[in-house]
Amino acid sequence: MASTCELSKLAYSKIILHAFKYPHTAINGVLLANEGSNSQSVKYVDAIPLFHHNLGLAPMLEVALMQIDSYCRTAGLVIAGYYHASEAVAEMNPDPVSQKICEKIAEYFPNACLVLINNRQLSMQMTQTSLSVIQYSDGKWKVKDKENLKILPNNEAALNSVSTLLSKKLYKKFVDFDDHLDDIHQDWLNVSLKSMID
Amino acid sequence: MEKQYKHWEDVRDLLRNWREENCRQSEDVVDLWNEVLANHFGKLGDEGWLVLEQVFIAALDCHNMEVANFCLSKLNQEFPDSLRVKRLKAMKYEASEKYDHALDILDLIIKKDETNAASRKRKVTIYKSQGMIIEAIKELTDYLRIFMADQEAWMELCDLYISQQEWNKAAFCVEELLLHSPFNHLYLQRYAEIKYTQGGYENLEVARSYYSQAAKLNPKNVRALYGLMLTSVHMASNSKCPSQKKKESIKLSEWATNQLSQLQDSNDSKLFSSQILEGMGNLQIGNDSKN
Repeated sequence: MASTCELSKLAYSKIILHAFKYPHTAINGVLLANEGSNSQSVKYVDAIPLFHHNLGLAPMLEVALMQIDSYCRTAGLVIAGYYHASEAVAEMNPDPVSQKICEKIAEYFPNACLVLINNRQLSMQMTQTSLSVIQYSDGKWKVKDKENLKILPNNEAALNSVSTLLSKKLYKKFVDFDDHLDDIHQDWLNVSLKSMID
Repeated sequence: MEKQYKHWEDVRDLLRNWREENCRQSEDVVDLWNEVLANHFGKLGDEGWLVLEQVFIAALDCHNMEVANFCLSKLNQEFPDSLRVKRLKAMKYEASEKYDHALDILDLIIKKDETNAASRKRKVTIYKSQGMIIEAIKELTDYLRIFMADQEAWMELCDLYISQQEWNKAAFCVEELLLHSPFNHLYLQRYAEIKYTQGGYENLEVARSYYSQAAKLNPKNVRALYGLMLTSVHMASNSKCPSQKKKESIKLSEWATNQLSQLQDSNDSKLFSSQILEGMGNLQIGNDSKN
């Protein structure tokens, strides 16, 4: 029985908004699941956007992960996955940095998923999920079939919802951890956007 | 950008500002052009050509080929033999992923004018767009042998090396930048980040001193403050650290934490030293030769 990977509308929207805010750089972020999740069929309920500059540098990544971990403990969540969009439009393979980070996440959450954004499929009117998923299990990376990736409540509703958000240019108000480091008052949890997404 | 009907002079000034600061606000530039400035192009005078170039590049960034073509044709009409306009044509091919055509044009420009720095840099971006990072690095290092004072190029080379995890070479690039601008807190912070990522106790010490200098020059640099806190705590908990330095590290980390809490100055802060220090041991992603 193949394990499924589900993304809540919130997590999916945040990934896409992050990609749209910084279309010219690589971006990354972590995916959160409920504590005590079954790692066979994981449901990602939220996404926290990390960086859009120098994704390969360690110190700010460590600071971010510590703060996210702290937040997770108060919210009953756990860091369970990672997403990444490459800088080059055609790049479809995960780079060594992404793999390293995801392997680290997998130490705490086995079978963590690495979600890659397919840059070419992104558009203001989203017609495809534009994601591909690889999973780290038993020390190896395995590509997941498209049927095993679901966006809740269902792909079509999620795509329509995201397209609406894009048309309102909500990505301009989206905040990632890099933005927070530039201006400490910016909220990397994007609490104010949450209500607009739901 | 929230005001719907800006006066064309305000838009002109805004675009001028963005040009001078080299901001990448492509979507806004194209929108402002379409909504306001296109109708007042005649009033811009000579500045109009600079605006056209800016809008052209912004349009390529947004893949709005209609606007891009309009701008390019106007520029071509006015400056038919210009190498600068030829370079813009090469950029258009680059945006359409016709890299060979773009490279041909750029090579022609460089042949005609060997001092044309911008065209050489465009070659680097063409390699980068195709994911050919090694070739991009080679092209950029050749460029820097000739144009050694180009800080933007050194920064780009640093980024390329970081993406290839070549920490020593990336650090070298930042060292070049620091020679130009030793008081630039951003360069100091970047150097510290590379050293920290490299790992090892000696690099940790170097990172801490560079973070300290950055934080001293700009006590509001959040990355420097966090970095200072991280490096100090790691050093203090490392067995190689002599007790004098341990005390110093603890003081530094306390100072950094205070600075951060002052900057945050609000009640629902999610940061905080106790939570962070608690989590310190668990999540080291950098090279694990720290302890």
